[in-house]
Amino acid sequence: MIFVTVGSIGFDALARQIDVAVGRGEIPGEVIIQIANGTYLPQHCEHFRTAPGLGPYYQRADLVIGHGGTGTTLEILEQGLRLISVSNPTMIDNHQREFLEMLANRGLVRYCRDLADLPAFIAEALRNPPPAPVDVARFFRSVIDGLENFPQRARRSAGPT
Amino acid sequence: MTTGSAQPSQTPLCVCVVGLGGGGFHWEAQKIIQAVRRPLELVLVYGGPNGGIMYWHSEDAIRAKYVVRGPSLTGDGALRKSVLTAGNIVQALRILYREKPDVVLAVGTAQAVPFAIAARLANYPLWFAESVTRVQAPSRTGCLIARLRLASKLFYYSPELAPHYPDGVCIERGAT
Repeated sequence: MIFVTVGSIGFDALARQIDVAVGRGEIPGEVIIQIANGTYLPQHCEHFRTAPGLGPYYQRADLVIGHGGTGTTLEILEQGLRLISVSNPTMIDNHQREFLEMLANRGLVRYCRDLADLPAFIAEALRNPPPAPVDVARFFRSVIDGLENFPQRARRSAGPT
Repeated sequence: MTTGSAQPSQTPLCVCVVGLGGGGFHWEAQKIIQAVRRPLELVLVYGGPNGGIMYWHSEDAIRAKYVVRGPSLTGDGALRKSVLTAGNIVQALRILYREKPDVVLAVGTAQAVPFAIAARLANYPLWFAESVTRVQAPSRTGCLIARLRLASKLFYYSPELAPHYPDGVCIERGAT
Protein backbone atom coordinates (compact mmCIF):
# COMPACT_ATOMS: atom_id res chain seq x y z
CA MET A 1 0.00 0.00 0.00
CA ILE A 2 1.18 3.54 -0.74
CA PHE A 3 0.22 6.08 1.91
CA VAL A 4 0.18 9.78 1.11
CA THR A 5 0.10 12.31 3.96
CA VAL A 6 -0.17 16.08 3.68
CA GLY A 7 0.13 16.95 7.38
CA SER A 8 -2.25 19.38 9.06
CA ILE A 9 -2.60 21.77 6.11
CA GLY A 10 -4.04 20.74 2.76
CA PHE A 11 -1.77 20.07 -0.23
CA ASP A 12 -4.23 19.78 -3.10
CA ALA A 13 -1.59 19.68 -5.82
CA LEU A 14 -0.07 16.52 -4.33
CA ALA A 15 -3.43 14.83 -3.74
CA ARG A 16 -4.54 15.65 -7.30
CA GLN A 17 -1.28 14.48 -8.88
CA ILE A 18 -1.44 11.14 -7.08
CA ASP A 19 -5.13 10.66 -7.79
CA VAL A 20 -4.78 11.43 -11.49
CA ALA A 21 -1.75 9.13 -11.78
CA VAL A 22 -3.69 6.31 -10.10
CA GLY A 23 -6.60 6.93 -12.46
CA ARG A 24 -4.24 6.62 -15.43
CA GLY A 25 -2.79 3.40 -14.06
CA GLU A 26 0.66 4.99 -13.55
CA ILE A 27 0.76 4.06 -9.87
CA PRO A 28 0.06 0.41 -9.08
CA GLY A 29 -1.71 -1.09 -6.06
CA GLU A 30 -3.68 0.37 -3.19
CA VAL A 31 -3.21 4.08 -2.46
CA ILE A 32 -4.61 5.92 0.57
CA ILE A 33 -4.42 9.72 0.82
CA GLN A 34 -4.76 11.82 3.97
CA ILE A 35 -6.01 15.15 2.61
CA ALA A 36 -6.43 17.27 5.81
CA ASN A 37 -8.43 20.38 4.95
CA GLY A 38 -7.72 20.18 1.22
CA THR A 39 -10.48 20.97 -1.21
CA TYR A 40 -9.56 18.34 -3.81
CA LEU A 41 -11.39 15.06 -3.17
CA PRO A 42 -9.66 12.09 -4.81
CA GLN A 43 -11.79 10.07 -7.24
CA HIS A 44 -9.58 7.02 -7.63
CA CYS A 45 -8.10 6.52 -4.14
CA GLU A 46 -9.34 5.89 -0.64
CA HIS A 47 -8.94 9.11 1.35
CA PHE A 48 -9.63 10.72 4.73
CA ARG A 49 -9.01 14.12 6.26
CA THR A 50 -7.40 13.44 9.63
CA ALA A 51 -6.91 10.57 12.03
CA PRO A 52 -5.96 10.46 15.72
CA GLY A 53 -2.67 8.89 14.69
CA LEU A 54 -1.14 7.86 11.40
CA GLY A 55 0.84 4.96 12.92
CA PRO A 56 -1.52 2.24 11.64
CA TYR A 57 -1.20 3.59 8.10
CA TYR A 58 2.58 3.79 8.33
CA GLN A 59 2.68 0.18 9.56
CA ARG A 60 0.76 -1.03 6.51
CA ALA A 61 2.62 1.12 4.02
CA ASP A 62 5.25 -0.14 1.59
CA LEU A 63 5.96 3.48 0.77
CA VAL A 64 5.02 6.82 2.34
CA ILE A 65 4.77 10.01 0.31
CA GLY A 66 4.99 13.01 2.62
CA HIS A 67 4.56 16.74 2.33
CA GLY A 68 8.02 17.49 3.70
CA GLY A 69 6.92 18.46 7.20
CA THR A 70 9.60 17.97 9.85
CA GLY A 71 7.55 15.68 12.06
CA THR A 72 6.37 13.42 9.27
CA THR A 73 9.77 13.24 7.64
CA LEU A 74 11.69 12.40 10.80
CA GLU A 75 9.03 9.99 12.06
CA ILE A 76 9.19 7.99 8.82
CA LEU A 77 13.01 7.98 8.86
CA GLU A 78 12.94 6.73 12.43
CA GLN A 79 10.74 3.81 11.42
CA GLY A 80 12.92 2.78 8.49
CA LEU A 81 10.20 3.18 5.86
CA ARG A 82 10.58 4.14 2.24
CA LEU A 83 9.86 7.84 1.96
CA ILE A 84 9.37 10.26 -0.89
CA SER A 85 9.18 13.87 0.26
CA VAL A 86 7.50 16.59 -1.72
CA SER A 87 7.83 20.12 -0.36
CA ASN A 88 4.72 22.25 -0.36
CA PRO A 89 5.49 25.44 -2.35
CA THR A 90 2.59 27.28 -0.73
CA MET A 91 4.20 27.21 2.72
CA ILE A 92 5.34 30.56 4.16
CA ASP A 93 9.05 29.85 4.19
CA ASN A 94 11.39 27.72 2.13
CA HIS A 95 13.19 26.17 5.09
CA GLN A 96 11.43 22.83 4.54
CA ARG A 97 13.05 22.76 1.12
CA GLU A 98 16.49 23.40 2.64
CA PHE A 99 15.92 20.63 5.14
CA LEU A 100 14.83 18.16 2.47
CA GLU A 101 17.82 19.09 0.31
CA MET A 102 20.12 18.35 3.25
CA LEU A 103 18.48 14.97 3.92
CA ALA A 104 18.50 14.10 0.21
CA ASN A 105 22.20 14.99 -0.05
CA ARG A 106 22.83 12.50 2.73
CA GLY A 107 20.78 9.84 0.99
CA LEU A 108 18.16 9.78 3.74
CA VAL A 109 15.11 10.76 1.66
CA ARG A 110 14.02 10.77 -1.94
CA TYR A 111 13.20 14.40 -2.60
CA CYS A 112 10.76 14.93 -5.45
CA ARG A 113 11.08 18.53 -6.61
CA ASP A 114 8.58 18.27 -9.45
CA LEU A 115 5.22 16.58 -8.96
CA ALA A 116 5.30 15.35 -12.56
CA ASP A 117 8.22 13.11 -11.60
CA LEU A 118 6.31 11.32 -8.85
CA PRO A 119 5.41 8.12 -10.75
CA ALA A 120 9.10 7.58 -11.62
CA PHE A 121 10.12 8.23 -8.00
CA ILE A 122 7.51 5.75 -6.79
CA ALA A 123 8.65 3.02 -9.19
CA GLU A 124 12.28 3.53 -8.16
CA ALA A 125 11.46 3.53 -4.44
CA LEU A 126 9.45 0.31 -4.65
CA ARG A 127 12.24 -1.43 -6.59
CA ASN A 128 14.65 -0.90 -3.70
CA PRO A 129 14.59 -2.30 -0.15
CA PRO A 130 13.45 -0.10 2.75
CA PRO A 131 16.24 1.93 4.39
CA ALA A 132 17.67 1.26 7.84
CA PRO A 133 15.95 3.17 10.66
CA VAL A 134 17.60 6.51 11.44
CA ASP A 135 18.30 7.63 15.01
CA VAL A 136 16.65 11.03 14.66
CA ALA A 137 17.60 12.01 18.21
CA ARG A 138 21.02 12.79 16.74
CA PHE A 139 19.54 15.96 15.25
CA PHE A 140 18.90 17.19 18.79
CA ARG A 141 21.76 15.49 20.65
CA SER A 142 23.35 18.50 22.36
CA VAL A 143 19.99 19.67 23.70
CA ILE A 144 19.17 16.20 25.01
CA ASP A 145 22.61 15.85 26.63
CA GLY A 146 22.27 19.31 28.12
CA LEU A 147 18.97 18.47 29.77
CA GLU A 148 20.26 15.13 31.02
CA ASN A 149 23.18 16.88 32.67
CA PHE A 150 21.34 19.98 33.77
CA PRO A 151 22.48 20.68 37.35
CA GLN A 152 19.86 19.78 39.89
CA ARG A 153 19.11 22.96 41.75
CA ALA A 154 17.60 23.45 45.13
CA ARG A 155 13.95 22.78 44.50
CA ARG A 156 11.84 25.85 43.99
CA SER A 157 8.44 24.95 45.31
CA ALA A 158 5.75 25.27 42.68
CA GLY A 159 2.55 27.14 43.13
CA PRO A 160 1.51 30.74 43.58
CA THR A 161 3.78 32.78 45.81
CA MET B 1 12.08 -4.93 43.06
CA THR B 2 14.19 -2.35 41.36
CA THR B 3 17.19 -3.40 39.34
CA GLY B 4 19.98 -1.84 37.39
CA SER B 5 20.61 1.80 38.02
CA ALA B 6 22.91 2.71 40.88
CA GLN B 7 22.00 6.36 40.55
CA PRO B 8 20.32 7.98 43.50
CA SER B 9 16.72 8.89 42.90
CA GLN B 10 16.54 12.31 41.32
CA THR B 11 14.06 15.04 41.85
CA PRO B 12 12.43 15.53 38.45
CA LEU B 13 13.83 18.36 36.40
CA CYS B 14 10.98 20.74 35.71
CA VAL B 15 11.02 21.83 32.05
CA CYS B 16 8.64 24.44 30.71
CA VAL B 17 8.18 23.59 27.02
CA VAL B 18 7.05 26.63 25.06
CA GLY B 19 5.32 27.13 21.73
CA LEU B 20 3.60 23.79 21.17
CA GLY B 21 0.67 23.44 18.81
CA GLY B 22 1.00 20.38 16.63
CA GLY B 23 3.46 21.39 13.91
CA GLY B 24 7.11 20.65 13.28
CA PHE B 25 8.38 22.70 16.24
CA HIS B 26 6.05 20.72 18.50
CA TRP B 27 7.35 17.43 17.08
CA GLU B 28 10.96 18.49 17.60
CA ALA B 29 10.33 19.58 21.19
CA GLN B 30 8.53 16.34 21.94
CA LYS B 31 11.33 14.29 20.40
CA ILE B 32 13.89 16.05 22.62
CA ILE B 33 11.84 15.46 25.76
CA GLN B 34 11.16 11.82 24.86
CA ALA B 35 14.88 11.17 24.44
CA VAL B 36 15.97 12.64 27.78
CA ARG B 37 16.88 9.86 30.19
CA ARG B 38 16.14 11.41 33.53
CA PRO B 39 12.90 12.12 35.38
CA LEU B 40 11.17 15.21 34.07
CA GLU B 41 8.17 17.19 35.11
CA LEU B 42 6.66 19.25 32.32
CA VAL B 43 4.86 22.51 32.00
CA LEU B 44 3.41 22.58 28.49
CA VAL B 45 2.64 25.91 26.85
CA TYR B 46 0.62 25.76 23.65
CA GLY B 47 0.79 28.77 21.36
CA GLY B 48 -0.72 30.16 18.21
CA PRO B 49 -4.16 31.66 17.67
CA ASN B 50 -6.04 28.77 19.32
CA GLY B 51 -3.33 26.72 20.91
CA GLY B 52 -3.09 24.58 17.78
CA ILE B 53 -3.37 20.83 18.06
CA MET B 54 -3.03 20.07 21.75
CA TYR B 55 -1.46 16.63 22.07
CA TRP B 56 1.57 15.39 23.93
CA HIS B 57 3.19 11.96 24.08
CA SER B 58 5.87 11.23 26.64
CA GLU B 59 6.22 9.23 29.82
CA ASP B 60 6.96 12.29 31.92
CA ALA B 61 4.66 13.82 34.48
CA ILE B 62 2.77 16.86 33.25
CA ARG B 63 2.53 19.49 35.95
CA ALA B 64 0.42 21.98 34.05
CA LYS B 65 -0.78 23.00 30.60
CA TYR B 66 -1.36 26.54 29.36
CA VAL B 67 -2.61 28.09 26.16
CA VAL B 68 -1.05 31.41 25.24
CA ARG B 69 -2.71 33.31 22.42
CA GLY B 70 0.30 34.37 20.44
CA PRO B 71 0.32 36.58 17.35
CA SER B 72 -0.37 34.96 14.01
CA LEU B 73 2.37 35.48 11.40
CA THR B 74 -0.13 36.22 8.68
CA GLY B 75 -3.42 37.07 10.35
CA ASP B 76 -2.48 39.88 12.75
CA GLY B 77 -1.42 43.43 11.99
CA ALA B 78 1.61 45.10 13.56
CA LEU B 79 -0.37 46.81 16.33
CA ARG B 80 -2.17 43.62 17.29
CA LYS B 81 1.09 41.70 17.21
CA SER B 82 2.67 44.24 19.58
CA VAL B 83 -0.26 44.12 21.98
CA LEU B 84 -0.34 40.33 21.95
CA THR B 85 3.42 40.12 22.48
CA ALA B 86 3.24 42.47 25.46
CA GLY B 87 0.39 40.40 26.86
CA ASN B 88 2.39 37.24 26.26
CA ILE B 89 5.28 38.61 28.33
CA VAL B 90 2.90 39.16 31.25
CA GLN B 91 1.41 35.68 30.78
CA ALA B 92 4.88 34.18 30.59
CA LEU B 93 5.87 35.91 33.83
CA ARG B 94 2.77 34.56 35.54
CA ILE B 95 3.53 31.04 34.33
CA LEU B 96 7.15 31.24 35.44
CA TYR B 97 6.30 32.59 38.89
CA ARG B 98 3.57 30.00 39.34
CA GLU B 99 5.42 26.92 38.08
CA LYS B 100 9.01 27.85 38.87
CA PRO B 101 10.58 25.59 36.22
CA ASP B 102 14.25 24.67 36.30
CA VAL B 103 14.58 25.55 32.63
CA VAL B 104 12.44 26.85 29.79
CA LEU B 105 12.81 25.10 26.42
CA ALA B 106 11.67 26.63 23.15
CA VAL B 107 12.21 24.95 19.79
CA GLY B 108 12.01 27.21 16.75
CA THR B 109 8.87 28.97 17.87
CA ALA B 110 8.25 32.70 17.91
CA GLN B 111 6.68 32.15 21.35
CA ALA B 112 10.26 31.96 22.56
CA VAL B 113 10.58 35.75 22.41
CA PRO B 114 8.06 36.79 25.10
CA PHE B 115 9.14 33.86 27.25
CA ALA B 116 12.78 34.75 26.80
CA ILE B 117 12.10 38.34 27.89
CA ALA B 118 10.09 37.09 30.87
CA ALA B 119 12.74 34.52 31.74
CA ARG B 120 15.41 37.21 31.65
CA LEU B 121 13.33 39.48 33.89
CA ALA B 122 12.56 36.68 36.36
CA ASN B 123 16.01 35.09 36.18
CA TYR B 124 15.07 31.73 34.72
CA PRO B 125 17.29 29.97 32.17
CA LEU B 126 15.79 29.73 28.69
CA TRP B 127 17.20 27.38 26.07
CA PHE B 128 16.35 28.12 22.48
CA ALA B 129 16.87 25.40 19.88
CA GLU B 130 16.69 26.56 16.30
CA SER B 131 14.58 24.20 14.23
CA VAL B 132 16.55 21.44 12.52
CA THR B 133 14.90 22.57 9.29
CA ARG B 134 16.96 25.77 9.36
CA VAL B 135 19.92 24.73 7.26
CA GLN B 136 21.17 27.73 5.30
CA ALA B 137 19.56 30.70 7.01
CA PRO B 138 18.42 31.29 10.57
CA SER B 139 14.84 32.07 11.55
CA ARG B 140 13.81 35.63 12.40
CA THR B 141 13.07 34.42 15.92
CA GLY B 142 16.52 32.88 16.26
CA CYS B 143 18.19 36.05 14.95
CA LEU B 144 16.27 38.22 17.40
CA ILE B 145 17.04 35.99 20.36
CA ALA B 146 20.71 35.79 19.44
CA ARG B 147 21.05 39.52 18.78
CA LEU B 148 19.41 40.49 22.06
CA ARG B 149 21.16 37.66 23.92
CA LEU B 150 17.86 36.54 25.36
CA ALA B 151 18.65 32.83 25.63
CA SER B 152 20.99 31.38 28.22
CA LYS B 153 21.82 28.68 25.65
CA LEU B 154 21.14 28.62 21.93
CA PHE B 155 21.40 25.41 19.88
CA TYR B 156 21.42 24.99 16.12
CA TYR B 157 21.99 21.99 13.89
CA SER B 158 23.53 23.19 10.66
CA PRO B 159 27.16 24.42 10.75
CA GLU B 160 26.18 26.93 8.06
CA LEU B 161 24.38 28.92 10.73
CA ALA B 162 27.52 29.39 12.83
CA PRO B 163 28.17 32.97 11.66
CA HIS B 164 24.69 33.95 12.84
CA TYR B 165 25.07 32.26 16.21
CA PRO B 166 28.64 32.91 17.40
CA ASP B 167 27.74 32.03 20.99
CA GLY B 168 25.53 29.08 20.05
CA VAL B 169 26.09 25.34 20.26
CA CYS B 170 26.32 23.53 16.92
CA ILE B 171 24.64 20.17 17.33
CA GLU B 172 26.11 18.57 14.22
CA ARG B 173 29.63 19.35 15.35
CA GLY B 174 28.81 17.74 18.67
CA ALA B 175 29.91 20.74 20.69
CA THR B 176 28.23 20.94 24.06
